[in-house]
This record gives sequence, C-alpha cells and structure tokens, in this order.
Amino acid sequence: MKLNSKYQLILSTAIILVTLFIPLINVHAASSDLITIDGNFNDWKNVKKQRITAPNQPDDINHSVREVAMITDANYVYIYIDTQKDRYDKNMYDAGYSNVLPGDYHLKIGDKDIGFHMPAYNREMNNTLTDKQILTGDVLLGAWPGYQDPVIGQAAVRHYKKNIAVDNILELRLSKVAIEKSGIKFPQHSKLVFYNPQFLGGAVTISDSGAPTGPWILAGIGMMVALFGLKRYQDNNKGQERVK
Amino acid sequence: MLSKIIIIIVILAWLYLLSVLKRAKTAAFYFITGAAGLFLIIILLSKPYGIWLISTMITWVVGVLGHITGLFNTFYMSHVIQVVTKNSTNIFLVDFECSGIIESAAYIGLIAFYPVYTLQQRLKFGVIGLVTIFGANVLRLTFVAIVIYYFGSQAFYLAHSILGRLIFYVIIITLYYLVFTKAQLLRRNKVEHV
Repeated sequence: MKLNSKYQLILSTAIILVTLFIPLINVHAASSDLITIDGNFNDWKNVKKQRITAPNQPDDINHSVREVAMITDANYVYIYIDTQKDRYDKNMYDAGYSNVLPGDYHLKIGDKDIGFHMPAYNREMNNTLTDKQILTGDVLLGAWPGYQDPVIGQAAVRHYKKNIAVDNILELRLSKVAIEKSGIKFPQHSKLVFYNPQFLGGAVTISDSGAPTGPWILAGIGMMVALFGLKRYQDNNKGQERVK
Repeated sequence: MLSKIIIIIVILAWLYLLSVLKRAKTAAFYFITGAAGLFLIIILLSKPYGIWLISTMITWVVGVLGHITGLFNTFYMSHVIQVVTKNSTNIFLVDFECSGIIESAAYIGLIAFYPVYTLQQRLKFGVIGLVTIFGANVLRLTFVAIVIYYFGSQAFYLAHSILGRLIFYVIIITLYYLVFTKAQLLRRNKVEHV
C-alpha cells in the first residue's frame, strides 16, 4: 500500500497538529514527587535506612540508635530521621535523646557544604506534643538561625509516646531550585552527604548519577546508516533500470 | 502560547519545504529534511509529557527486573533507581537523555521518511524498532544497576560509561544496520543475480 505525496502530506499534517495540541489539554499529571512531606512514612519503606548512633552514645550501652535515610529525585533531596528507634521499640526511657535538634544540619553537595535548620522544633517538643501528633515547619538555609534566612524546604515530625518511651520521626525535603536561588549551585548529579555533628555520630552518603545513553551520537549514526542504505537503494534502482 | 505558534509556523514551513523537495524528486534531500524535521518536532512536543511517560515506563520495567532479582529497587513515578550496597546508596535518575526518547525520535524520523519501504513496512519496522530501543535501554539500566550492586559505586563509570553504552550501542547500531542497510544489500545481490 503506497500513498501518494498529497495524502502523505495531509496525513503528516493531521498527526502533527493532533500531537501538538495534546500538551495544551489541561492534563493533571500525577505527582512525581518521591516522598510526600506529611508525617506519614509509608513512602519511605523501600528506602535504605542507616543505623547511626547519637554522638558519644555507643549503641551497646544506651541503645540511642537513630535510623537515618536520604534519597533524591530530580527536584528535591529527602531526609528521614527516626530519632530514638531502638529505645522506643524496647520501651526504654529516652533520656532526652529523642528531641529533634533545631539546627546544625549539613548537606555536602559535591565539595560544597550548606547548613540548614528547622525553627519549628526544639527541646520542649516532647513535653508539648501528644502521641501521634504531627508538627510541620519550614527548613531554612543556615546551620543556625540568622537574619531573613531563605526557606529551602519543608519538614514534618510525628511524635510517639508509649509508657516511658518517646520517639520522634522526622521527614524533610530540600528544594534544589530553592537552594540554587540562594546562590548555591546544585549540580544535576553529585555525591550528597548528610550529617549533623551534634545529633548524629555518622553521616549518610548517596551518589546521585545520571545514566545518559549518549543519544546524540546514536542519532547521528542512525542518520548516516540510513543515508548509506538510501544510496544503496538508489544504486539498486539504477541497476534494475539497466537490467530492464 | 507564543512558542506554540512558532512551532506551528515552523511545522508549516517544514511541510512546504517537503512538498517542494518531493516535487523536485530529490529523494536524499527529501529524506534528510523529513527525518530531521520530524525528529525535532517529536523532541519539542515530547516535553514534558512524553519524556515523563517514557521515563516512567522504563523505570517501572527496570523495577520489575530489580524486584525479580532482588538486587535493586526503583521509584518509577519519580524515575529513580536505587541500588543499595553494604557501604553506600547509589541513586540514578532516568531523565531526558537516559530515557531513550532521543533515539526513539531519531528512529521514528528516519523510518517515517525512508523511501525504500511501503507504509505498512514502515509501521512494522517502526514498532519493532521502538520496542528494540526500549528493551535495549532496559537491559542497559539493569546491567548498570547489577554491576553497582556487586562491585559498588566505584564501578559506576565502567558499568555505565563503557560497558552499558557498549551494549546499548551494539543493539541500536545492529537495528539500524538491519533496517536501513542489510535489506538494500540483499536486494542488490538479487538484482546482480538477475
């Protein structure tokens, strides 16, 4: 079945115009955010969590183990901290280690280090929050409060209480765009290290990479191969004409 | 809206140029103009929905393989592949240049204006080619993830930039050869035998 050039043009025009207007239709694409900052932690279940003890609190003595995780997508860096994982699970008194520290959080992006803090949280939160209560707040640039710190993310903490045990689970996200607006370059792909020297005895590191196929080279190769094939085709046709 | 109007004007100019080249019977120029133009139009129109869709599909399929092997997992709505090793967490994002959409658009452009085949053949080879490109990309990303799982993040460069690309390039260039060249060589041999 061969179409003449007139119908080919009509068909091409129709396809292109229909395709062109598809993006203009008011389509609400599903959210592609990896984690929703809402104080529910189901979306963290497949993210690897690292066990990190509180500074100077050996695991075998005090069980002050925090579970920490970090992951990133195209727009955000997400961080999760369960402040008192083991003590809460074992129904042990938290001894003050379950509070979410308001500041001195750091993210190393490649070789650059940015600090951030969350003024919504403080050492009194264990006394003021009730079981399963969620407290949300902004994440601000700067390891500790300064003057007119820009907002670079959002956070949510869910508080847990049972008998004498207390726990707080924090999730936050840092906006790559907001960090860039603050004048700090956020490379598309980089090694990320999260740490807090007062709160965590270790750091969480992830390597964020892209995996491009080298597409432009392949597209060029495709064009050359096709042109070679076309040349052959034209040679064949000449040959066939000669045979006839 | 202005950018849409510009795109429409460019498309109309491209169609007019095609009609001129068709009437002038300049097969090679017609092919190059048609293929390159359609490629650019597809790329322009694929943002953001087409790229999102293909990236989601590819991450989902890679995630199924990760689930079966138990070596890595994916968050397909965010196009994230996560490989967790003993010492590190490695994330890679399936974005515009990783999704295979550029190769797919180039292939569609080439096959749509390749004058050798009938419309039915173009459709058939078009579908075969798109499935092959998609499959090759799934294979490449799965391979990179498995290598990182077993050899750690220090193997990323070797797995991705050399071995993964090598696998992908071999499959895609074989596809190009079979679709665009081999058929012509076989036909030529037939003609010579006649």
